[in-house]
Amino acid sequence: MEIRVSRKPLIAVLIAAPLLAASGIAIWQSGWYGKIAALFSPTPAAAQSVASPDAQAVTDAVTTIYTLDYSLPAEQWESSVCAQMTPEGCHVFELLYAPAIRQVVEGDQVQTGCSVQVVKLVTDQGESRVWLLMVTLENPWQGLETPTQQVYAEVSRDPVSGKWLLERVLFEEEAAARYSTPTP
Amino acid sequence: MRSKPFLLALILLISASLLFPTPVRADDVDPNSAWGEVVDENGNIRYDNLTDLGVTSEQADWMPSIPFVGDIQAEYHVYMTPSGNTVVLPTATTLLFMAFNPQESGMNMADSQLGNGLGAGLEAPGVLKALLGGYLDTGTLTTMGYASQDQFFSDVVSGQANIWSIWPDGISNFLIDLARGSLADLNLYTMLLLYTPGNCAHVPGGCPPEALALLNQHNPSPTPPPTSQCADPVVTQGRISVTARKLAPNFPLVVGQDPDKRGADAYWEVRVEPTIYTYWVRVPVKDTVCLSSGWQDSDCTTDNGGWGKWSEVVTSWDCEQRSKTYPESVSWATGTASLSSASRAWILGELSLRYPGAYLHHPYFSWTNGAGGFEGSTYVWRLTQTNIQLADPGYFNLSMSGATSGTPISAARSFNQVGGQVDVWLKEIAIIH
Repeated sequence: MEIRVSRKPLIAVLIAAPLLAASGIAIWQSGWYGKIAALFSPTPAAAQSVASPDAQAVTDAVTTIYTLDYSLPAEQWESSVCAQMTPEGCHVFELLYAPAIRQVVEGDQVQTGCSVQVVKLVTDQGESRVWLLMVTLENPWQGLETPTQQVYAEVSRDPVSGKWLLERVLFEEEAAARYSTPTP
Repeated sequence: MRSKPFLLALILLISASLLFPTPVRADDVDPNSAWGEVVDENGNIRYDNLTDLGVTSEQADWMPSIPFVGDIQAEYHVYMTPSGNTVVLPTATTLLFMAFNPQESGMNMADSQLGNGLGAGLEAPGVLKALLGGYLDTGTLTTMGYASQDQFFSDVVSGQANIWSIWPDGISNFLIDLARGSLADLNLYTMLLLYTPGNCAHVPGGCPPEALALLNQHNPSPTPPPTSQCADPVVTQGRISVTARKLAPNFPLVVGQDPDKRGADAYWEVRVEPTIYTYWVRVPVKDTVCLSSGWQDSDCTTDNGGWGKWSEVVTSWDCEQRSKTYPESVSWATGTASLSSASRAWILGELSLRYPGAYLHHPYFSWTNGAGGFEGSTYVWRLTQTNIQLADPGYFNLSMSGATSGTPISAARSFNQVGGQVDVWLKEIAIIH
């Protein structure tokens, strides 16, 4: 069997191929590849924060927790946090978390905002999810080793309203035991 | 007649049993024992017989940590019995983490433990089982390779199993039930710990002052701790220092006489040292003394020849100095070069006699294009200016003015200091007759 190939397309391919290759190399070397690729592949954080309401809920709630001002009444901060938590989460927060946080805030006269970046979803049990976040304090207090830390936080969906709410921030020991990769 | 070896063996046996806390059930209390002062025959706490020393909390490294903030606080309700024993009632949450870490938390250091509704085991695994057992089903246990809850909780307490990693939902559910009120954290006690006066140093949250006072009343030989407080904290604001100097040339010429218009180069620097917060904390000074005790506890003889036990007591308090450092930056700064008043007077006086009409061309310059940053705890702001077109002869004062940012414990400050001088030269021609 004989396959006939027209000459014109063949010549066009022979001319176009080196040109395409040369432009590719030029783009690669100029560093534009990364910028162009970034336009089509958003970061996971950006994608998640846009796509999932639970990621947004956990980001907002954790931002409120770590937005601290010693000069404002503690009740004001606690109620802002609780507005974004489940009723049980709020109670645990008021019982265990808030006293410890307020002690540092008032002792060190803390006034700081924070930025929260969603890193990844680490546990998905349907109506309850645990997210890994990267939290950076804008004005860290004295004695804090680093202004950026990993925070694991659990959200759950309210069965009535369907709204995602913060259950709690995981304790460091708990997060380390559940999610750290053991090193040899 | 009993033989001496038998008596010695009996004493050793009794002493060995006292090395560990004695667990007691609330419904099994001997009214004549130390617990008789605390609970009645039905296991109810005899609040009317106890002095309420209030709720105390302490930072404890065996409690779990919150990111950025550190350990949550351990919380206890403390009471004192008429005979001077201290009774500690941990909240349910605190008790849970005490049981995870019985040694570090002082749970194992109590002279006696009294449980209410805890089942048979009052040691740490038994407490965990009582608090968390309801959250663990047999299927989950089998999946984890355990034949019984007892085995599982014993492994948790001994550190062979990490409760956080192998059973994550249990803790969450416990905390949620705590929130829902099915576990009362304050009103319903699950375990009471009893500390005798001689063991007061091991009371979680510290030996209460009331117990200390009673201890000193019974054993007046050690010097009673002074009640004086430590000095008030002192805030020492960091020094602000400005230095400035001419860089080049060695002899700058007034630009009016210099065809190259070289001018002068100069450098300014301001250093803001950190503000220091100095404070004092009271720290106990302890001594080991022989305090009166029962014969079975005795390992020394008191001053009056009675049975005694070596015990650590607080004899006085020291004030320990501590400090915190608060770095302070510069919000804004301006470097200036200003012809000195003496030079101005010389130009307008003596020089104008020789050069009638002499005047001040450009006696003042300012620049704001410096930059700064921290070098350790000190903030350093620098400015370099080249080819400054100095048109007036004399001495220019190099100054820096600005303001600091302040710190969390001190307000922002302004500054205006002379740091050095630049000399500007004039060529004079004299005609010799």
